Amino acid sequence: MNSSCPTGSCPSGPCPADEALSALADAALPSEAGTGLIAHCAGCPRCTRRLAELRALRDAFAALPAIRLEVDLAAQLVDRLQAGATPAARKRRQSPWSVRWADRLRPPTPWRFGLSPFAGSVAAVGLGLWLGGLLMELEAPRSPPAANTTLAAMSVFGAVPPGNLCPRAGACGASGSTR
Amino acid sequence: MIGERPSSGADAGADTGEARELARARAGDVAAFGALVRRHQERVFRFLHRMLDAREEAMELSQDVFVKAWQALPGWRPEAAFSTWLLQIARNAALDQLRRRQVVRFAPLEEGLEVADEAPGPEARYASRQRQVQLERALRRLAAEHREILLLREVEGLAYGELASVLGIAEGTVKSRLARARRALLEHFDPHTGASHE
Repeated sequence: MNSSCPTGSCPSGPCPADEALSALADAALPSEAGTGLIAHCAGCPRCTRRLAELRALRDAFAALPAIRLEVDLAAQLVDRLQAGATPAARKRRQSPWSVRWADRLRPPTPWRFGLSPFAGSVAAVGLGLWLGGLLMELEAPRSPPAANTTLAAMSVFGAVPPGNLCPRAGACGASGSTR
Repeated sequence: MIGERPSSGADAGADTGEARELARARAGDVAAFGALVRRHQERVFRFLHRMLDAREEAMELSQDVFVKAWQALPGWRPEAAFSTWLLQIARNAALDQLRRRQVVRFAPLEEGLEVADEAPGPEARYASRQRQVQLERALRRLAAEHREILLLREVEGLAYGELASVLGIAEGTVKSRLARARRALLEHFDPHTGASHE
């Protein structure tokens, strides 16, 4: 019931809800309902007052001062958009997931394959193996023979310094009596 | 039903022009989109200005609304009127902005007097201006949900179906929400005298 009609009824019968009066003020009721409501209001001072308030509200809105932008947003926006968005980029960004997946599943062209991550990985592994092989070949001749593992320089730290006589046979190794 | 605005020949011509611009803009024509912006910028700005009650903020947000529209344009379907769709974006942007603010700003008591002093004139003019100020003040006191529906209906003249589309609610809900919003506004504002009910 209408909140402005606390008894819920007026001389012309039960009062309508605010919702109906609001719709009547908008002329948004079907013609029969509208006619019935207008007839009610004619005999109901409360509803007449409410309807007048709602209509006056509309007039008050209509009388509000105009708000003007006073700037051409379009000019600013066109520059901004031209700098940041090409149609192709927009299309790619806006394409649905199904389109993106279909694009991925399509057989690659040689150019697209050449740029793909898979081709990059294969190339990286191949290059690594090749460089590794080269290093192995270079290292091989430098490897010292097993017999020369004792470095001559290390002999100064031995029990018999270089040039001294060996105290007994066999103390300086099998080769001779001096170091 | 309400708000089904009669279409005149001029409107039809404008609609055809807009349809052409829309088609070109959707194909990536920025200049065509610029023409669309020119058609709708005043309306979007006005709505945002009244929602946010801040000119600079409304201007920045209007730009953002059109940038969002440009980005989402490939997804727009002709079933929805472009202007309604724009207002929908604007409405969401305004609500986000209000949420970010997290404050309800009330008009200072002197505001109305200042405006009235600027334009002294006949008594009727003074009363009219006073009424406008009080209505603006009363609008600011409303919940965003009520303010937006009143602005879209009373200022932008949207039909119930368009309101339902912009607000994402059923037409029946539009009717009841509009009634509640008007009731709330009438609690703060007397449209006959322009007096505010504090």
